[in-house]
Amino acid sequence: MLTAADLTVRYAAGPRALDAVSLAFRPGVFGLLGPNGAGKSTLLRVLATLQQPDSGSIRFADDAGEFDVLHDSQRLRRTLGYLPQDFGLYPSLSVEYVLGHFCALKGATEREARAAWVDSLLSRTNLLDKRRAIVGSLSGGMRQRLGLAIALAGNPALLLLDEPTAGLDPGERRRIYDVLAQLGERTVVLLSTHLTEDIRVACTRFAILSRGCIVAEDEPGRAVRALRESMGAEATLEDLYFKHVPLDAER
Amino acid sequence: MPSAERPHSGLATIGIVVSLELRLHARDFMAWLGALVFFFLSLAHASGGPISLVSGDLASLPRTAGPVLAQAMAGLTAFGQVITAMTAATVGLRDVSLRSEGLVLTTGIAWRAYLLGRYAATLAVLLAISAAIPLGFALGGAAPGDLLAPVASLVLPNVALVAAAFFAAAALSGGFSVILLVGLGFIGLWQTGLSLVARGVSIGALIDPFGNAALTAGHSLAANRVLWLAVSGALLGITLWRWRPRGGVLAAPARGAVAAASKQVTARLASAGSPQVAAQTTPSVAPAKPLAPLRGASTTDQFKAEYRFGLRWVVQERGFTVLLFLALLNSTANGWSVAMDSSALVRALEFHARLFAILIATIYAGELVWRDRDVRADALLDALPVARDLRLAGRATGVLTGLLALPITITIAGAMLPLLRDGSPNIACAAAWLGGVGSLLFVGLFIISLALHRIVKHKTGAHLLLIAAWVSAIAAGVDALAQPWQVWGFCP
Repeated sequence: MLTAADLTVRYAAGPRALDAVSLAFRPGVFGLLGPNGAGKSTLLRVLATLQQPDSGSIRFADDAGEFDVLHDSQRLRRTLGYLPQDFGLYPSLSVEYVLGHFCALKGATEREARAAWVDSLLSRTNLLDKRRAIVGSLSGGMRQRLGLAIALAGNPALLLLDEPTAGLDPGERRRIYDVLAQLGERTVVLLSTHLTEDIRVACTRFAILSRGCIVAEDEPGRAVRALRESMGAEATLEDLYFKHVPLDAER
Repeated sequence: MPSAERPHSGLATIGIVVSLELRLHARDFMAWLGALVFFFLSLAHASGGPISLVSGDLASLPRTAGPVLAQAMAGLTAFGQVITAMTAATVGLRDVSLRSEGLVLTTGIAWRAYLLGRYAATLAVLLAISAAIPLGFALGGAAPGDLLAPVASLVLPNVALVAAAFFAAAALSGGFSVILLVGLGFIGLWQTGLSLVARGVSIGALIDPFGNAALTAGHSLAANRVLWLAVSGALLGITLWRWRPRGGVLAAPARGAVAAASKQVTARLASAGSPQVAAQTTPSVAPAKPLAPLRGASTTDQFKAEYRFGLRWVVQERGFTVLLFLALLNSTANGWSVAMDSSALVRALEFHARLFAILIATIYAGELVWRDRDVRADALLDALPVARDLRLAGRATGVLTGLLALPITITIAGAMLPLLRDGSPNIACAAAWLGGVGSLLFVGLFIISLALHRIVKHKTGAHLLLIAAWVSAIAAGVDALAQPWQVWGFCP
């Protein structure tokens, strides 16, 4: 379980990127919904220990017990899978080699173990037929799935996915949902998105982040049912989103 | 209601691109630094000690004499194209690196005019930076009247050639490494031309793209200039002929593609709701093979993984193989004519491979530090349980192992040349002297380059500083490590 308490991040110019954000993430897929500039990527970078918050704390419980993430970032990274929103890979290398390299860095040091991991990850992300293709030749969706395969390497207990479905067509989005659906019950997945469809299809719980603050947190089905009681039978998650996020909320 | 704007004419498009690039570079510290490097090298040459930038028996002439100025300007523009490669790449690849090609090319401008504008901008920026060369010579004591002829016959055509070649490489490949390769290829031709002329082979005067070799008595500079200006024009023509917008921007759909797509959509709509279609369109993901979780590799294993990665990077790169071949060709071409003892031969080989060693060490060290960020893989890597310094150390060791192919190849050439030519090799001397000096200096160059990139934290800035420092060191004749190794190897 991952617990974030009172996380605050200030940038030199402008308002707070995160304003005392407190959330608890249990095993399952947690969706973080919000407009552009709401602070989703900042929150994920902080949780991935790539950025220090100005204040607040993060704790994570693994098999060996609970620990302070901000003081032991390496321990978290040993069990972390992170997919940034904007990433690239070495365009002249093969899919198989790039994935194998990341697996080696995560602990698959023996050649056979590495090959088994590469096979498994390519299979899970539906990229088996692209194993010998060079990364530069992949389409946007395939590249995103390769990024997901890298994040999944080593069966991380914590998976942070920053807008993994952004810019993908419905088929590619479905493939990502299918991969998430196959994850073990003990994996904590945090998925940031600005698509309500991602929340509806893939998430067991979600929060809405607007201007650095958590403005709502619930289960998708329960939230829609509650909304329909007050707004009518046609209400959707999108209505809930606009209820909490004004149209000019983008920063 | 505003009236629709008419599209720009070709000339106006060229003017817009040139004006934008000049404005951007006027605010760019790196462009000014490049000009400063040119200025100080020219000033130091005009007002300094003996000539050492280029070959030629000119030591008895005053430094501001016409032939010396001509040799120095040709040499400076030859070195200078390495200094200005980053600038040329920035101009040529700006819309590619900013991913704004699609935005620009869909504004209605003629893409050939846009392309010519990019070339004109590259030329204009390089000319602006190269203007520091005559300025440095003038302030160093050269009469302005004496500068006109070398500027017109050497600096301007050389800049035009470099601009055309770098622009063609940028436009057709979309990659910086190809630009560097073209630059190093020119240096290889330059050195080979000088070497051939020194041996009395006339064709060398034509081969040298910068005109140095043609300045030697008995050769025609005009023929050299005409040839290389024609090459510049040809490169430009080929680029205009072959270039097409990347990623299908502006590309018309293939004949029949629209109709085929339309048929597919119609068929789908007709069978919408059918279970077969649903089954086909629902993507399947293979069930995951159960594998035990990984919980991080040991420091040694991480180092090994990065070492392998770095080594593979160098070994697999075709550009490096080409450079290796050019360095070997250049060294042996120069070494063959040195009919002296082994020490002089290996010294000649090492001297002529030095520029390649400097450039390769500098460029690869820079790429090593910046590559992850350039390809935007840094966040993925930073989230791994691998310390950043360990990652760099492992990768640097791997890259260095691969790059050592350069001094090793030259060492083998040094050992074999006397055997082939005289039948009496001094292998121990060649290996000790060249292997020691070559490899040690190369490793030193690489580590210094790596450290400077980490300290300066600016890729272009570090490249510029390093290249300028190495060129200055060569010009000053710094050769501190050669002597001890020569003694150790019992070389005569």
